[in-house]
Amino acid sequence: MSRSNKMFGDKAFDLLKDLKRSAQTIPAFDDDGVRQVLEEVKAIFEENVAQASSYSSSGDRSLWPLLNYRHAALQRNKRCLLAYLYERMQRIKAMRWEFGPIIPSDIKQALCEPEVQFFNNYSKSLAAYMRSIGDGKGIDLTGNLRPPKSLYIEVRCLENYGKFELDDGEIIHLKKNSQHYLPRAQVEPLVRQGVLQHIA
Amino acid sequence: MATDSRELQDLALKHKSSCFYLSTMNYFPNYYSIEDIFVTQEKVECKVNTRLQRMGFLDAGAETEDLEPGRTINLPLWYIKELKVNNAYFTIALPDIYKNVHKAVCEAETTHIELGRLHPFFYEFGCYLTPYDRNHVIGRIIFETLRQRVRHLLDISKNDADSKPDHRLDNIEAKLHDAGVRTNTLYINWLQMSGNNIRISELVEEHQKKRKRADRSDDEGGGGAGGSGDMDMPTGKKPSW
Amino acid sequence: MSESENLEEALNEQELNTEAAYAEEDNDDEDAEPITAQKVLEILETAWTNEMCAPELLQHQTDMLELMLSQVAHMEEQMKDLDKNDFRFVVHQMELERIRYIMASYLRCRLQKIEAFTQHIINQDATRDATDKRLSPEEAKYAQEFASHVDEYFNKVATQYMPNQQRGEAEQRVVAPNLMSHVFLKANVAVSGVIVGVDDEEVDLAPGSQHIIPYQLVSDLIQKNQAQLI
Repeated sequence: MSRSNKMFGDKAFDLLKDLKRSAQTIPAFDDDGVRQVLEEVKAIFEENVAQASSYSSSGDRSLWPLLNYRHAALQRNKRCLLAYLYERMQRIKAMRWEFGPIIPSDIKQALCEPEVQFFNNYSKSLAAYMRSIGDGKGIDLTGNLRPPKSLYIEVRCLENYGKFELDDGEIIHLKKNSQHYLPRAQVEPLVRQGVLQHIA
Repeated sequence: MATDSRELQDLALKHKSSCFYLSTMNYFPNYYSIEDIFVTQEKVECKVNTRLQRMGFLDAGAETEDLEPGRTINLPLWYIKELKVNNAYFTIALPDIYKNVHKAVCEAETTHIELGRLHPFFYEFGCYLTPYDRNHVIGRIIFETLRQRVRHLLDISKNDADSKPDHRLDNIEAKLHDAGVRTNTLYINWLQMSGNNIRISELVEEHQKKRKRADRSDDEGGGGAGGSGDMDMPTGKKPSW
Repeated sequence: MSESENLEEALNEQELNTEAAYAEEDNDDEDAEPITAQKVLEILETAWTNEMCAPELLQHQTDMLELMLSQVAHMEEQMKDLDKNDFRFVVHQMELERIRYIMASYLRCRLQKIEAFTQHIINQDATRDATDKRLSPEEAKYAQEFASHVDEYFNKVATQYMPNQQRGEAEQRVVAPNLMSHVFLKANVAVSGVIVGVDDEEVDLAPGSQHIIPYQLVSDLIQKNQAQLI
């Protein structure tokens, strides 16, 4: 191993540092960084395998500390990389709860293909679970987020949304800047999506 | 043991029930814990005890192939903690920061120390170092330091939410402080029976802001009106789940 | 909580006498009397606060949840005939929403734990008898699916390119709750000889007394409903 990359594990650590520094939604998947870490893991592993075999044939223990160090570095790389994926997974999960089953396209661009797949799988499993609660009666767990204080709430419409049908069949026209007094339970998702604003 | 502090309890429950995502309040590092990975990235000063073949690359100041005995080098904690405490290769030198606060600890004068400046992970780093500490003082020092400072921490979280004393707090203290401020805000909201409005989802809000910024910088970007186009929500129906 | 008093009236108007109401029957024949909707709600409320405060996943309450959900559906059916401006409609509707919130919040909290400690919970449940499982059948299915989605993601991006895992590595990655984290506890009944702290110090809990204590030392009291978390 050359002197230039003497500190093993630094690239893997940078992955995490960048992710942690970024805002709440997700930064672009660091393809290049991940690939470099995987290459380092592979290189360390191969060197160790080569030297370990000469060690066991000659019984020469003098390289043992080096093997040891590289082994720790390999584990360190793995841990950083998996922690990077784990943290991204947490953020991807949060998107299902906050955006609903469809990710806005510009955010989707930040995900790699397996991540999109994970989101879809997660979304499906979650929906299936919510439907199955209580012998198939189902509860929407992404709603009912706060203890209800009133049946109706005053809302202001933040965009031209169009028609919105209430449970009893009444149709409301949601025009930008219009204000309405609507059933809390039914409009909660629209408030969460930023279509309506809960005032007063 | 028994407590009749009603206030504290109310706060505790209020706080818990308002945490939508499982609170990370309870610091308990696991394999994926980024915090712990940050702590173990910290360097520890070590003296080399014996010639270590082909490990010269660890010594920035040397050009030799091997690592020579007597050299002092900085090694990351993630490596050190995999070695036996009394391994034959390195002797760990404990950082002075812990000795430096010793006097303040004895005099119970720790509240003014700028702990974050001394070390961003004062407590956690200290915990990792205790096995190497033959005099068994670091453990006591960090315990006493936190014990002395926690009361003060509670006070400053209650007083001013805005002026966060940045480098005075170490990582764990800063988190405790944040939690304190958050709980206090919730408590005040609860007393005033406010803050119960349904809020826009945080991610949606951040996303909208980002998009507005993008729209301003280049106008051909979005489809313009509506804005809910990206969401693919069928208008006029409740979002399906 | 004054809100729940309205509900008491609403709920006590009729006793549940569906077959599901005899859910307790299987366990103990002497307890075969029908359970009231009010009682079901109380059990769920306790389960909810306990779940919110406990670091680990507690026993599931599928039976109670199903009872409550049928009750909710039943009340909704009855309310269809009421005028929307009728005072009773408003009161009942409000209570229904509160119940729905409690159930959703309760299940959400469990889901968060399941996602955080997936493998740990699956492993533990594998060693438990069918009657002692912490996960409901639906949750168990969800946990398995979740674990495999995560595995698949990790594998596609990283682990398939890495050298084989060593023994012990998989265990190292299991995320488990900190059972020694402190909780607020209220004794429901008198409990004597509770060991508190590492030095085997014992304390008697008086009914209604409140304590701050590491969760693990009292987890069995929660299980037996001798105390609850607050």
